[in-house]
Amino acid sequence: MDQSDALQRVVRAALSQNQVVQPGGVGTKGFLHPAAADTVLVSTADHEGILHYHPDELVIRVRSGTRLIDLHKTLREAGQYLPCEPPRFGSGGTVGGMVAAGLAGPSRPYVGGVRDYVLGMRLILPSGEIAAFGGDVLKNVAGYDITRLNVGARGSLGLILEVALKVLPLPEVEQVYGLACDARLAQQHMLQQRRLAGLSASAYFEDELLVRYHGSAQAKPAFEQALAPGFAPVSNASLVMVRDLSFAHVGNLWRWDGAVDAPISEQLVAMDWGGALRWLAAEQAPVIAADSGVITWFKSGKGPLPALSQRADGVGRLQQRVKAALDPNGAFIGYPGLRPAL
Amino acid sequence: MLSASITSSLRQIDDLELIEDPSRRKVYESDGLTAIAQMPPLVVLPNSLQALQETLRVCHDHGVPMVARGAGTGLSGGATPLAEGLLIGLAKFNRILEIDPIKMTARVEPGVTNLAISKAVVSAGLFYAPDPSSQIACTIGGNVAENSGGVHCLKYGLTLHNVCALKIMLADGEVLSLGGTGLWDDGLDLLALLHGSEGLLGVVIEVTVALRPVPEAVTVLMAGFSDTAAAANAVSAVIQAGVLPAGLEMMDRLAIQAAEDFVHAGYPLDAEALLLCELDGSGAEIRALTQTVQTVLQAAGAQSLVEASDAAARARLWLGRKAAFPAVGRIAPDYYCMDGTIPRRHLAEVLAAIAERSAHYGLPVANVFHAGDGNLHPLILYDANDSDQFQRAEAFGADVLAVCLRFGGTITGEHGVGLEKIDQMCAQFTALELAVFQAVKAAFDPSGLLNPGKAIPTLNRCAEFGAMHVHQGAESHPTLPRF
Repeated sequence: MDQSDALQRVVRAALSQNQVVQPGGVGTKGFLHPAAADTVLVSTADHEGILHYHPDELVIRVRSGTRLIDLHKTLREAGQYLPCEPPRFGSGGTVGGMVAAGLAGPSRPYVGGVRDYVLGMRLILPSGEIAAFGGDVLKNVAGYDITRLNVGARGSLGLILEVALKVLPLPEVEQVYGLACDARLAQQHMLQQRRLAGLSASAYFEDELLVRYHGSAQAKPAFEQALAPGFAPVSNASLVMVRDLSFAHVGNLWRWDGAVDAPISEQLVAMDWGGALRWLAAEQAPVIAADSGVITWFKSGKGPLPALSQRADGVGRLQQRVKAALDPNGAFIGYPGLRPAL
Repeated sequence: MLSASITSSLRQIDDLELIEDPSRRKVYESDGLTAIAQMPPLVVLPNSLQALQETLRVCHDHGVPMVARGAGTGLSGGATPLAEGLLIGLAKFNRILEIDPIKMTARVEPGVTNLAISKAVVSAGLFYAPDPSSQIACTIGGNVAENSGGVHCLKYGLTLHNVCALKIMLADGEVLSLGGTGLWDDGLDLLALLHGSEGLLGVVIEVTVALRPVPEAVTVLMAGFSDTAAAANAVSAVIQAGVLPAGLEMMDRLAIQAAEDFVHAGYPLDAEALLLCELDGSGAEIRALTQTVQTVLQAAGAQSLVEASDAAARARLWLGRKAAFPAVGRIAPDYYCMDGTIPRRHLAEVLAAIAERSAHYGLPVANVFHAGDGNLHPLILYDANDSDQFQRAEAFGADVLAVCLRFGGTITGEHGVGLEKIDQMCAQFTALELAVFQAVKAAFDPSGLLNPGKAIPTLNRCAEFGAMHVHQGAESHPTLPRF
């Protein structure tokens, strides 16, 4: 049901009392904001529903509170899917939360991330007013790309009301293959297999290299032949665990984003994205070679939250200027500082 | 004119060529939108990043507005010079810095042409997917500024989807790297924001593009239809069948005839509409895909169906489509290319509305259409030497954009706003939304020196234009005829 007016009233009430607004859905990804105290959580959980879906145009527009499982079901019934396969932390996650978090699953290097499938957006701006950007069409270059700027912005630039998404036909065949090996051998295979036609995931978890084929039945034998000896078909259970970060970890969970051929760190829990994304567990921030990648905090363990800070480089300063320009009064929660404090 | 002190400051900069001779400056007076020309008071061609940085600092310190330009192939006046500003040509930054066949990326300078990237990596079995029709000349820096598309965006995406990282220079000369070394970077996604920002936020100085393996097999199907609605339905049917073609293009009768007369591609002259459908993949799957699509096209009422699987035959079919603009240029002294995108289900109504406007203004129109993604290129035929025709063509173009908005589309799918469509921005966006754009601009370029007057209108300009705001198909008096 359309809750736009009600949500706008709640946001405006918070603004009038100088309370900081933190947009949310059902809260499955609340842990992503490490220190979100003294904010008013404004939830889109009841603002759900599919506004229109035209499978032959590859476009669907939904309200932000629409549950991801409902979106997936609707698409699947029409033989389509959302290729960026966002992680699911519990069954209730919303489309708005997916967009605000901007987290993409194992297919990221092959088909793109969340922002690559977001076409348009309607949102409550930090001023409390409602605006729309982008649209329901695949190609649109009118105005700056405020839509994609909001993808992964963690709710810092507004409360998302509607999202238009690009969707694609489901692959005819999906099959995961596994190979038992250590992390270094897994990385070598990952580098060698990057060009395999139909490769849609390449991850490493619990001493097993996992690769996934997406494509036609006709091309599947060629994919299998091109795999190194020893790979065998497996269920997608382990890959789903990598997607949903279902790791039992000691200490904080950190993400490392960097070059696929960078050396593997001691604290590795899992590798995804063909080696470009690595999950590391440690109480304190892992130390990595300069310029080999970037370490950011992702999730608390049982121990205390480590000392974190905003990124302090020129890009970080420009990001702060953009936030200040679009939310001059700091009415909405800021993007969390995820970098290890120096 | 620029003051003598600025010119003399610029002369001090090493590796900076100044073009002052009027006959040489004239080359830069317009981009691909030749209807709008402005002689630049001075053109500079930096030959090093330091020269570019010093140039930006001189302009920044003196408050001189700047326009950065690649090859000048843009179609919306994004690189049109300013009467009181400096034109900075980036053509000398034309080196490919690094090709990494393992990571499948190429790091290139902004003046490298789009096609040069694919040519440089073909021996490694790779290609760069976005292919605007000007790809032989247009530069990658310009592609980023415009978020350029092409005929293969349906499957492979726009420039935005194929760039991993950027280096940019802000108006004050600060250099920033956007995108990180991996596939995710923390904080606001400024890499996405730079795409399509039309040179207003920063100057692109280095681009890292994602490359893809060259597909094992490619085939092109050409289908002729006796009416455009049937062709549009065929496009829907192909996608409904679960097929994602690499390219899916449509041309109407006038475009077919002009192209056939020009390049003899073997197009069916009795067809009202023609579809070109390119399929790629492995050799095994392409045969099954081709059969599926042939069946779908026949069921959708195709009158003729031709398959081209060898490279020469494919090239011949594509030649007509890629030469459609110059072909239309042969049957009229001038043409005006529009660039709206619409939800494809409204194609028949939009084409009918365009035909009605064509009759109203007495100017013929040929339609070329990226049918897979709904991006329509009506080419309005006119004679620029006849000022009345020129004005009618402009009014016709504005009406076409209004039609696109009325059906829930956008005024520009891939050519950008530039100077050309700046007034129509007032119709697509509210004052509130335009203020958001202005705030972003101020965060990047507080002095407003980069490409001012393009892409984003001021609210004053919109007030003068007096645009009726039509947003998401909702208008104040929907029952009134708007033609």
